[in-house]
Amino acid sequence: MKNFLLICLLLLGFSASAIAQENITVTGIVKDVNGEPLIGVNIIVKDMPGLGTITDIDGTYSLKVAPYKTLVFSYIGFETEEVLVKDQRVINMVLKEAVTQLMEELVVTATGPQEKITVTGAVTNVPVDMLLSNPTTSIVNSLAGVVPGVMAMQTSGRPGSVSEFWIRSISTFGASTAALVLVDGFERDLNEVNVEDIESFSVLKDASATAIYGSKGANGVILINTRRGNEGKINISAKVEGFYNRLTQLPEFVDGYTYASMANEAKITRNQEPLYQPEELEIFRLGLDPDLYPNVDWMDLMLRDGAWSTRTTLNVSGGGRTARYFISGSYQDQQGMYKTDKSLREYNTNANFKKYTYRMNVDADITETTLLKVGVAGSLQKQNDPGVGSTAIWTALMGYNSIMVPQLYSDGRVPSVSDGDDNPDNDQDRFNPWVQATMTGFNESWKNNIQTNVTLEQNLDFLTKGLRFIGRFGYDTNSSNWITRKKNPELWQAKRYRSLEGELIFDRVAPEVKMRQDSNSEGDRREFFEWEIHYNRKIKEHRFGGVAKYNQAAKIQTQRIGSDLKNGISRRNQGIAGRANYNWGLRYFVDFNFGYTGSENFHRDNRFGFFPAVSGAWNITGEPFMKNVKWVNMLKVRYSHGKTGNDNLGDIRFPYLYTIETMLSDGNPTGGYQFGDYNFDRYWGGMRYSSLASTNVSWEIATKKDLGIDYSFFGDKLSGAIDYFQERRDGIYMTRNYLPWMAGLESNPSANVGIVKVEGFDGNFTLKHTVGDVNLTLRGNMTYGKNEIVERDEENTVYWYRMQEGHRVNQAMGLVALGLFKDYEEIRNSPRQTFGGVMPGDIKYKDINGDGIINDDDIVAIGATTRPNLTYGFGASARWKGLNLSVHFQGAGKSTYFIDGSTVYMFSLGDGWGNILKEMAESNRWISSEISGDPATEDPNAVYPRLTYGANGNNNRKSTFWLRDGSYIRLKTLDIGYTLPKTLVNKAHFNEVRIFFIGTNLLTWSGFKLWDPEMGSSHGKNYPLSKSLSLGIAVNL
Amino acid sequence: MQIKLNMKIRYWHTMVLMLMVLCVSCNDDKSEADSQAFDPNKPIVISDFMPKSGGLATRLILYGENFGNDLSKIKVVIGGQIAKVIGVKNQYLHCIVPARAYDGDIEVSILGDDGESIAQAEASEPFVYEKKMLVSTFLGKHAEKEADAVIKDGTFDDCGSFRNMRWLSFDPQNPNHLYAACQTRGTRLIDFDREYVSTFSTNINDVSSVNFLLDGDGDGDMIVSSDHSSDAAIGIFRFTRASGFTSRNDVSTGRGVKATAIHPVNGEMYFTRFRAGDVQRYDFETGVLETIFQNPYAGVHFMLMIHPSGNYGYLVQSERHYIMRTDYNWDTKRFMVPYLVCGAAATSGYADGVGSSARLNWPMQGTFVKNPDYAGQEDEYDFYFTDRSNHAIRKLTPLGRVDTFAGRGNNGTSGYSDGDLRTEARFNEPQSIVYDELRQCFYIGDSRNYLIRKIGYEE
Repeated sequence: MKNFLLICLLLLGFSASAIAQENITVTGIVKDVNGEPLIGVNIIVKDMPGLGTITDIDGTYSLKVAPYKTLVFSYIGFETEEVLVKDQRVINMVLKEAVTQLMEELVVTATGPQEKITVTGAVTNVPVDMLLSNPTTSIVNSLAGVVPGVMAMQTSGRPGSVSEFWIRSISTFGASTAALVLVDGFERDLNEVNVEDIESFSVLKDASATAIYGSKGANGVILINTRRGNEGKINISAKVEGFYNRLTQLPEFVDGYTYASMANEAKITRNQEPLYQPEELEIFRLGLDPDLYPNVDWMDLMLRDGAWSTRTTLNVSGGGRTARYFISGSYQDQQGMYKTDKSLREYNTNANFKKYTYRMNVDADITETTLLKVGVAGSLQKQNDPGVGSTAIWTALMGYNSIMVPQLYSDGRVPSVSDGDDNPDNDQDRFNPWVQATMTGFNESWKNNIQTNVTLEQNLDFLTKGLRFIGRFGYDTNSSNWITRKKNPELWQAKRYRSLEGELIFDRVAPEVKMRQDSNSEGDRREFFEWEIHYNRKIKEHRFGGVAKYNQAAKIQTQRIGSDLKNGISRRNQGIAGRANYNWGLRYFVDFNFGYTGSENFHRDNRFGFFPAVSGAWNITGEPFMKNVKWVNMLKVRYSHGKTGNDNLGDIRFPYLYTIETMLSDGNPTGGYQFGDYNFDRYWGGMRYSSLASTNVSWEIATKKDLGIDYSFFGDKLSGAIDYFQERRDGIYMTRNYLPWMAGLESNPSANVGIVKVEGFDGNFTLKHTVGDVNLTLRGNMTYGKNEIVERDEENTVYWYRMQEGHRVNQAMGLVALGLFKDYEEIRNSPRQTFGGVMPGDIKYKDINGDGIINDDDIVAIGATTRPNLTYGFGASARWKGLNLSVHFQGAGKSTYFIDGSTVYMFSLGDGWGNILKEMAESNRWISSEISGDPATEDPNAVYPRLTYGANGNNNRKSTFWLRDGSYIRLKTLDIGYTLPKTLVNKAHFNEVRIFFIGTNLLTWSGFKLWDPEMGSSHGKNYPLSKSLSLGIAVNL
Repeated sequence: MQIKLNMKIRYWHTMVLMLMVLCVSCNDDKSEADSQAFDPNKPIVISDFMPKSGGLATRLILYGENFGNDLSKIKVVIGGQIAKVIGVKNQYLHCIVPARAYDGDIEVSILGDDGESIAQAEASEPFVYEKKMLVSTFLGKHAEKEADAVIKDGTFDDCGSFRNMRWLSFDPQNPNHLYAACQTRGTRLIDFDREYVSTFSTNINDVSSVNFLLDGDGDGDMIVSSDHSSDAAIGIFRFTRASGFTSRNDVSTGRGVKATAIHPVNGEMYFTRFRAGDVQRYDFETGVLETIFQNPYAGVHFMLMIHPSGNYGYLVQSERHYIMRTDYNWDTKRFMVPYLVCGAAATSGYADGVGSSARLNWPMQGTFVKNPDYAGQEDEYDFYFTDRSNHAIRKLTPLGRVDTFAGRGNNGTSGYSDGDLRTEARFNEPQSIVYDELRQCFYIGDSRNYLIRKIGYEE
């Protein structure tokens, strides 16, 4: 609230200074074509930045202006009008509603903005307002289900964490599936960009759109351009939002008594001694000894019900005819979920994340034909974590069951569980979670970046009409630093039995460690340079154009480069690219793109590659016979075919160079000769290839085909696009692990051997309709991709189904479970299972190869992949006067994953570590009738098998039994907003004031109940995603 | 305007609603009866308790009414002994059964501010108190390291420490005389009569065992072995009872004699040799020394211990971590080729189990103890032995099952603590053990704690 008041004051100050001019006074009234007065119309004096006014409730205005100036009337959704002031004192204006047609919509492509009708490749323009309602600090988190062709998955809800995303489908098992992200033309981190600063966001999906990026374009490209100033009155907008975040689904664990009883069952059912005597269970139940028989709800103890975060943005834009500016700043503060104990210390150990960003874009017309654009942007991200780090806390939070140790012993000692190891450093992840969160000091990390762009655009019409030159230079620095301040109190664990006198007996788990400090940093610097020459002409019905482009980029690690000289060498790319396009009468389009790019990471013979792509389109609506078909506004068919590359090998530098090292054995030279005389040591060790030169290594090549339709019907009421795509990725880089020993190699060389093919489709639709005063919009989109490994370096096997070849990339593989064994009779009559002893109630597997033995040869592909192969989203929005409401649902399908780990395989560690989910404890599991007294509990179709205390090789392995369907659908956003009536806000000199409520991840539907399905986690021990409720206000002046 | 105003009201209405949603807080409702204070107007009632029987340190739960909620104001007396109260919740109470609560009558009282009893109640039936075996420290002064272990003669209260106790044995004719063979640290005589520890003079450098011949032909003389590395030197000596164990005679040469064994029926002597890796038989009647079989390993520490019936002996393969059995041929009066009973040859480890699935780590001296549960069976004895590097006393049953009898308390390994056999007691490299038939307890040479421990029923 304080922020908001400050901003109001600021805004008032700005507006007050705008009304102190003299000369003649012009008054008038502005109406629409129906004669209704328009409130809040912007009236500015052309070329006089800062001078202007807005109309009041009755549509009237009054403005002092020098004669012979031009007044510009502008209003959102209406066409702008200009009037020259001579001697008239009253200027009444009628504004016409602007009719934007889809045909005129601009699409940002690799070579600049282009009319949508002329685009022949698969490019999706993302409406920026769809990205605004995201409560997290990263835009990526809002991409899934919004952008056709983008699949995304948020795997952690930790403040500051980001989603992974990929375009269309994963089509390689190589080092990188990440798309190329270009911000203002250069490769930059998507998460650095403040959403409010985005002017356009487009996704380039097929080869014709990305060939120009050559060896970097294979995984798709995302182009973001940031906002720039427009000529006109100063425009100030500010937005303040407060979020209340709650975790979507927190794992719920059983209480102490249930845990202890189940542990006993697990022991007894395997003919072992029970872990707890009846009187001990009774003590658990009655809670009579909180030291030795505690019952701690760690989740409740550690986590808040919700956490607050805020986001404030302010931007100012405007300018005159010769120079324009856009300045923005934003601040985000995300608080973590841990409860902290203020009484324990002065500093805050809660996890939090703060991000400050700023951006300044200035465009200056140096001459009539020369435009200079300068942009500077930067961000500072600060993050706090408790001393041991959030990962360790979550591990402990999931591993500490309710009976392990109390929060504090009754004598004030701090409890913790030891792993039996003498080294206290190894114990850290088993420190009591409450200790980890509140008593281990804190880590501070921060990242700062500065990004600079300078662009020079020169119109060369004086040479030949339609010729243009653009030169661009970029310089970025990134650095990240962290300081850890770690400590821990003296930690104790009570022995399970009291002394004969009834006193507790303690073991010291870890000695007290005073606060220690450590710091480190990482950094890099990037330099970019490119120039382009554009040529566009229209001669009668022939329109043609061409682009020639040169680009180079370098990235160098500036800190922590270590002693390896290779780390100090910049990663450089260089390339030329071009485009030629032709169309006839906006009906038939042909487009040719190419990239000839090189990467210095490869051997000189393989350094440069040529990536061509052709595409064509037919605008059916342009045909004369379609002139009378009024309901079709646009119908366009397009096809593209081309190649792009991927030069990302991960961290490997110069695979074409070999490395020779001294042979060592236990740190001493070996394999050499002793040159010394007797009793003198002159031993020289032998040398060997530690890594072999792989001279032929080069980039992955993607051959892509895309067939698409863009459509718009019924006066643009229904519009969208559908694409079918095919891709074949050749030359996927991988280590040749299965060369015969006969080859005599000391290390495994690498080669471009893998092949993956992909096909799929993506599409979207938008339906707009107006009923009375209500504007309704329905949106939907879907992306589906299926990949298949055609070839990869893997061990040959007799059983084809064990190969990864012929399956999806990262296909889940496991045994096929046939339920649980009914009795010993069934075990005797079934194929022998070789994973350890089997009892009734254990999992029965299918003998795939029919050899009478169940072993690893019976592992087959089951289910799909962890990452979804299908992503979809749909939503509706309605607008009625000042009120708007929109809902957006997002879903994912064709995804399966195995669940495992100590939370799923109950008691599997056998040392008391690990917890039992309430959901699992309450589900139907196989219980021996000797324990339950009811033969019905020996259910061969039970959801969980007979319990085991300790490892169970037979049950606890990947099989269909533990395979879960990861598909889900969730109410991703609910957005309710109210724009205050103009009559009200104009009195306070505001242009627009909007108050809104946004809810994200409010509801989830999924067959999987144990934890949030979107995380794709196999064990559910990650920081869960959050659902957030936010209230905000946006003002525009 | 009216409509707009309405809308505003509605807007604030929704805002308030939303805020209410945001501020949902949950109140745990704790059951009130649990934590009620003692009510002096009502009587204390003990309605039930569990378990009904047990030894000392049993966790006892009492059910009833009006116990109050103040730990400092409640006193529980069981069998006349004060029991430590761990937790109380008005209707439940948890306490620890004290030692020597033989009578088992349970009495709960609430104390006033000055510690006087203001209300009390007694359980209608007594708790059945069972005596329990415990590990205790019998004799000697604990030392952290060998240099601190001072050896001296003296009364039981002041007899210093014990070092290298390899062998413990009672004089079969005087149950008040216990001998401890301590290698180079001398042979000690523990006299229960005088409660005095003295050094028994042998003039032998390295005493590895002390045994006694049969009363008949052997006159109950003492046999002392010496563990030296000379083929020619005498390894076995005989001290005559008639001389009060002062007159020493040579019996036989022997190199690396780890222990002797006297056949309990026929009286001949057997001993094991380290370097040669064989078992020797000496016949006192004929004076003949012969090798009866070869051990599977030579150059290792191993010992023979004979069953009281004389039917068989255990060949404890200390350095190879397993135990073999050799059966006695009554016709030839010789032991026969041994076979495995428990453990795995040359594989050390710790595991209870049957036969070859059990794991041992340096088993040392053992002793046969009659188990009343086996009455009428062919073999009525369990074999208790020290498992040195597992810091435990193990038990081998006639059927070949190995259990841990005592030690490794609280899932630990070595250490020095007394108490419950399995949950508390810890040893540090115990290597000798003897059973005292008279006092019905075990004495254990706890070599790295430098003292003698006792396992017996609480007194």
